[in-house]
Amino acid sequence: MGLFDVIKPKGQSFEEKFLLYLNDIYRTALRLTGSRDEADDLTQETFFKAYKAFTEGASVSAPKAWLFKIMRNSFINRRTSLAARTEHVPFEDLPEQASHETPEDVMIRKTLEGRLHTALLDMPAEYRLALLLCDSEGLSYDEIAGIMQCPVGTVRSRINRARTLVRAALRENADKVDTKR
Amino acid sequence: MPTSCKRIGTLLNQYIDGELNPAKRMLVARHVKACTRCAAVLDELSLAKAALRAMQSRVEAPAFLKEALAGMTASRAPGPRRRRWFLTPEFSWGLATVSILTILVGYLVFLKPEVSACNLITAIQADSGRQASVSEVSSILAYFGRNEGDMIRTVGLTIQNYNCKGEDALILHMTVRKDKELLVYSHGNPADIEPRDSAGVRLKRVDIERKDFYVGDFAGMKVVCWKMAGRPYAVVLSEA
Repeated sequence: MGLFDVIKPKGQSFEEKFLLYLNDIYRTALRLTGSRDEADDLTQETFFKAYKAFTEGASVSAPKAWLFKIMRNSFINRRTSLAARTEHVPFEDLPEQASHETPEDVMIRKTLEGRLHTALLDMPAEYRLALLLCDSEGLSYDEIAGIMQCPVGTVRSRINRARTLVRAALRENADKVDTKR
Repeated sequence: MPTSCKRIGTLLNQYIDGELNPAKRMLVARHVKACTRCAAVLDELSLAKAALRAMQSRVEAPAFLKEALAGMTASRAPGPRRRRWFLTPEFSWGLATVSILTILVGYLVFLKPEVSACNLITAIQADSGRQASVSEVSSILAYFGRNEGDMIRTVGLTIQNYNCKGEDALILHMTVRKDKELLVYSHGNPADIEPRDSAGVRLKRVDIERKDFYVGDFAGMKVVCWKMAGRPYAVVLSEA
């Protein structure tokens, strides 16, 4: 019997309950940090802390939100502890799955997503996280408020402001695409 | 009384996020049907939401991360493949982010399971986040004349950041055997890279297969620290 088997609580294993959210945590970490290395670190740290708490008997009713809360707290600790050394990875270097689009469609999409990526990194981290949790992860304002430990009104305000910035970026992109055609 | 665009504008984000009650939802729907300006804003917001969602849906965690975390929950060897930056030959005590250290096998108070060497090596790898390689751990064991049967135990590990003379540094804080604590300080200045124990005594530098390791004796145990890719690792070997 392995060591980790011994300390596994009854019920679902850690893998069954939490590791299925790996992609969710990673892709949010990637946009939040703007760096692949930092995203790797942040993701691993999140799951390490979650695993430690899980094996110590933490009771978790909403695994996804719980993981995001750990991730958000870890991100804040990392950001305030050390001077920022991270170089944001260029959008072109971000990992991407293969697609079946035409080259022209790929170019248009990448231009749009490049602006989106930049708009995200340019905005305050709190806005970025609120928007990612809402649009990418499909969490409710209440859930996001729990993760970010702020009132729902603050979540609403952050999402409003973040989307205003994203709209502006996409509008600029649309103008550029139109002039190219 | 017609609802103003200003009022509707404040509700559009909540509308597309499904956060409005039915009454307000109907209010917005009715307004945008009649107002081209608000309808255009709604389209832009919906596009922004959809574009972000689509962009994120194409991102997947790298394979090595999946393997590493799967290894954390399974007690089997071999460990996950290393990323290429594990192979860098340079070890410097430069600035390090707060990250996961390595290799602690926690004791439960009333359970002392028999742990095979295979599980220990896996635990070493699995618990680190950034895994120490099997070869490094094996090198350490071989250097000190230990074999895989030696128990490696610590209880509790934290990493703290602190500022020393204007430089960022780390404290690797390990609690060993519940009643003994070891603090290993890692200074950020490359010129002062030897970690010190809690008494301020520098750990001794040893060369194991052309890499720098720092060794100290503590509470009858041997502590071995090293740094890789800017992150500290530690192994505690019990007395044979």
